[in-house]
Amino acid sequence: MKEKAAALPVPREGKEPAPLGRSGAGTIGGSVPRPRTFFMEQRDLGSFSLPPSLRAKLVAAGFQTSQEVLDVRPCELSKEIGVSKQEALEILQVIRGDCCGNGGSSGNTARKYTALELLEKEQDQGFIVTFCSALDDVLGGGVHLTKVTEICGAPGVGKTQLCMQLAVDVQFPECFGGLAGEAVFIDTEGSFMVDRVVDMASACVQHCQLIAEVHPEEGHQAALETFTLENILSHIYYFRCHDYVELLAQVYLLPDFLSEHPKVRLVVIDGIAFPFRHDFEDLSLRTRLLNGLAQQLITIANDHTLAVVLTNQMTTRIGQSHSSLVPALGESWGHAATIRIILHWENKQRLATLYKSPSQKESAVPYCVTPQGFRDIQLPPPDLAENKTNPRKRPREEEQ
Amino acid sequence: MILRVGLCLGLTAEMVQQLKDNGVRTVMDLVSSDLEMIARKCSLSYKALVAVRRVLLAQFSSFPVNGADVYEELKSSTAILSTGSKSLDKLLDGGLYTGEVMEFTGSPGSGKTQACLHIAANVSKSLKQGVLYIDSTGGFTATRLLQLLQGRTEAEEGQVEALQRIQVTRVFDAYRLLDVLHEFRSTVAQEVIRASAPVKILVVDSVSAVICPLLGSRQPDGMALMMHVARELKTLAKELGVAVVVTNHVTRDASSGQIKPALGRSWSFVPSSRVLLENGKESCGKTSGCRIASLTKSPRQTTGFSSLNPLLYGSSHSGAALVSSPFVPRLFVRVTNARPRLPTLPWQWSPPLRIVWLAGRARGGAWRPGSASARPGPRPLLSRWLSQSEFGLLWRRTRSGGEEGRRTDP
Amino acid sequence: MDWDQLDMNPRVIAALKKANLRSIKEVLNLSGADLQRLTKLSSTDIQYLLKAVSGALRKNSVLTALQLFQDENLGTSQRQKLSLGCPVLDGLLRGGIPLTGITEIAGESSAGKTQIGLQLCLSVQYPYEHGGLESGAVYICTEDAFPHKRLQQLIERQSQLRADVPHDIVQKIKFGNSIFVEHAADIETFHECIAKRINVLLARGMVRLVVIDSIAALFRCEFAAKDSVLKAKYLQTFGAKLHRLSSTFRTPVVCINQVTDTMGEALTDDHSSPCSTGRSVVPALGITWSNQLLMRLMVSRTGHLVQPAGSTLRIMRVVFAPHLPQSACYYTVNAQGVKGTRTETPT
Repeated sequence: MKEKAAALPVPREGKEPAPLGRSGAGTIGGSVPRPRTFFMEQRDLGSFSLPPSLRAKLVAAGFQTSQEVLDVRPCELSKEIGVSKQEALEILQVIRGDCCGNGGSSGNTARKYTALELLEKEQDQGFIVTFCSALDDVLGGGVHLTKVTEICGAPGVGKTQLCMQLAVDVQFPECFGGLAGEAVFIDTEGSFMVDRVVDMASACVQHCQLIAEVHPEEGHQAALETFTLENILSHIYYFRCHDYVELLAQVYLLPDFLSEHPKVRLVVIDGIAFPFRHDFEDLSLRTRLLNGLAQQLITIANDHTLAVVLTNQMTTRIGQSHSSLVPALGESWGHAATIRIILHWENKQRLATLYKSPSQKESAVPYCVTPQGFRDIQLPPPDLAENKTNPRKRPREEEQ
Repeated sequence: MILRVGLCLGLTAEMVQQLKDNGVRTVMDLVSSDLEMIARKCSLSYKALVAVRRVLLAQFSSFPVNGADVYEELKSSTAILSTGSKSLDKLLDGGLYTGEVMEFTGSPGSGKTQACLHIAANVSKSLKQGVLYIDSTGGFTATRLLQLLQGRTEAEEGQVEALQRIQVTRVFDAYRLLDVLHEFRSTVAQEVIRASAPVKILVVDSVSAVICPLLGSRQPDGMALMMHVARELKTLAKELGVAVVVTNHVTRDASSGQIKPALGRSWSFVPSSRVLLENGKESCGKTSGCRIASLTKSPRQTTGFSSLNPLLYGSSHSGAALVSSPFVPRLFVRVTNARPRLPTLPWQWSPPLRIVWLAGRARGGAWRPGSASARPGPRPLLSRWLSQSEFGLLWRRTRSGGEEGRRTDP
Repeated sequence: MDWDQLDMNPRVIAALKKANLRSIKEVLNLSGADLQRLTKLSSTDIQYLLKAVSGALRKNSVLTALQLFQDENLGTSQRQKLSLGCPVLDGLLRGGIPLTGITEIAGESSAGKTQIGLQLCLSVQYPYEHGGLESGAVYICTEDAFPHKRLQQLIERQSQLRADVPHDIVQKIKFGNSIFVEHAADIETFHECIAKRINVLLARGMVRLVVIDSIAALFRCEFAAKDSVLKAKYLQTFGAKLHRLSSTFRTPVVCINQVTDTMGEALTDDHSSPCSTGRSVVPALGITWSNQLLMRLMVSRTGHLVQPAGSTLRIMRVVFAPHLPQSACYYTVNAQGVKGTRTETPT
């Protein structure tokens, strides 16, 4: 099915209808002003992101739709509603839609794509492999870029381990089937242990060396020269946030940081729940902040083509008849992440359950945490040897 | 509407200035005030003012519509689009009605996005209609869509065509959402000739994700914005003849511990039908992927008996359980392949002074010729939608069944 | 917050002052729309304001993992750990107890929890090169009286236990003088203790270790089953406070916890099930408390006796820790203190 999907976009080349392409791009940028304003005239002023005070003044002066405002010149407008000329200019800019670029977080978000274009994009993007092939399969290849993935679990089940593993895995060189990206790690609980990352990174480097030895290719050696422990460590950007205010501030700053570091393909927040689970008297404030945070994160993920991975704690919900372990932060937070994985113990076995995903079936797979990192469950001896030399990496699969 | 030169015959610059100086700025001000007094105050000719007012009234007021005409209009313009799942179609009385807003609500992982993707795939592939998919949660996954399409057709060409008929926009805040909706309206209104099929379905997944961050603060802005979104969606549905599908999150009520939709009571009037999706874990076991969809609000079907009409549908890996059924045109209903009809004069949408909303809910026997016992004939309801509150009031009144359709000659 | 220090347009600063917004927290707590309304600024200005404020709060706080790894500074390095005073046990914990975060030692009574706590109070006073932090310890008792006699015994035999440390160094340290004992029998006292008194001790640099013996005793008597929400709230507050103290002063917080049988708490046990052998027990206080922890150790007695001393062989297990595998090590408690044994690897 994968091959088929990959082949799909090809027939499109010849037959892409020109008008479609035009309508996709032409009407959006505002380069054709007349069409844009043609129907804009009926748009209610309330639906523009104007400062409320200015909006109130406009409405008091009788303006109701954008057309009426666009009909007057800035000077007239400033006189008419009693604001400074600069403010009048700002109003007109907002209404003309000129400020898309700097007003919102990004001007590109409203771009229209056909599903086919998105399919191509999705297939170009690749995934961040978890190094546990069973979990990769369940996730449909690994952790998806442009999506928010939430990892929930009781303490000690391996949430932080998985996060650290991903921060290393995202840096796999391209010739080994990786993304050659960088990672941002936002730590709210102080559980980021650099020694542990060193373990995992060294294991990864060794793993690549092994592949290069078995399958000598030119690209491999060159890639291995840069894929060293030092390089891996220096491409994990670590932020420590002590409370939710710091976390919010850090998320506000992330877009700028990511623009400076365009290779970042993974943002980890370990964990999202801890700062939000105490010192909140006003629960509606918490809900609002979390909702806002969720939208900011998905915007970041989309704008910078990166994966956002969050960890969440579990809590006990007491029902009528029985109580059960559920992810913390309540029902409404459950919608924040696009993909939700729950890690849990079952009969002395660690299991990862895909609980929510737009593209994959719910299922549970076992995994384990070894000194080398997050791995598949070790199979009985005969498979073990094979498993070690054949860690189901994509380049290997293609070669076979 | 602000008074300005050229708005109508006989309204001169001098007049506008005079009126403005005396605090008469908008059409509304002029029409609702005492002309004699204004004439005196502004030293304008009374006759001229009356003439202007008459023209303005003619230009801006609404026309009463004959109930029978409304029904005819509805019959010719409404299409029922199959969702591709027999059981869901049954639940929705045939499928998605153009001109209406339908809502999926449910807890995380209950399959809202799956339902949306499924509908998009079906409408695009089986019905060959265009889809505009507005994604605000990042849940849209083209790979999954392809999977669903592969379940419907083997032909790659068909899949590609279907994918091209689906347009996707990602928006992450409410203002952007409004921008996109407006742009959609203007592109359709301009009759841009497209190679692809006209958009018949607008999916917003999810509407609460963009609105919730604005609610719950001390300011009423969020609420106002929500109302704008609501109005925009309804207008789009009616005016362009598209079926709108939105998804809504759920939250847990702090006091009772019950699950309730995230956008609460003030939003609840927006969708004309509402479907609650649940994980049917208790009844089916976790791995079977069984879900229950129950209708909690509908203009046509019995509601409030979610336990009576539970439907099982699985969102399994291949999407096979959501069997696509071929679209069967029903009596009185025509699937228009033509561009959406631009409404003619009495329907034209214009500034709030004269919005006439037709809460045209053809009840009972209208769609089902067999059930003659139901109320015969259409029962259109006319209500002015001047403000949100007024609408709510009228809606309640008509809901209780007090008002008959008015018949007035234009 | 003095807004004038921020690198912002004076117009924006004036608007902020006028809107009566006093702290960064207040600004960040508001949504963009609310800020627009309060300050009457345009959305562009608000974006700019939020970034400036966030930047002021966060400074330039980015570190790469390489910097963390190569950090040799005693004040910040993650390598720095607090030794348990025994090379075998330190080996199990990869050097000792991490300086930031809450470490829990859970176990049945007489498994040796208090002994480990006392030994930590002593080893924290050693110089850095010998695994200590050159500072004192505070010991919060919530249940029993502080075991003074045992402490004196341990102090007397320190030079025997720490044979690796030069004798004169051990002699020089006045162990008894820098152990501060607090008694807190109920939640209010405890809260005041960690919120105020300990803060002072830590701020003056007199103390670099907090031991709480035991956390569960506070909650055992005062809360009935129906108060679980309130109990959870307290636990979260305490957890957050201790976290804050720990990371501000780079001071390890060691909490001693009791265990309960799994029978009644079938639901909360699954996070630690793989580590209990025989009679299955889980640490008390449930998942709410577990969520606050950085690492959890479990100690228990085995049935064996160690020749020649005749003391019981005990076992210490790592239940979870971000940097450690699940592993275990035997140890014994004798007159000198707690000592790990290398003899055999436990299964």
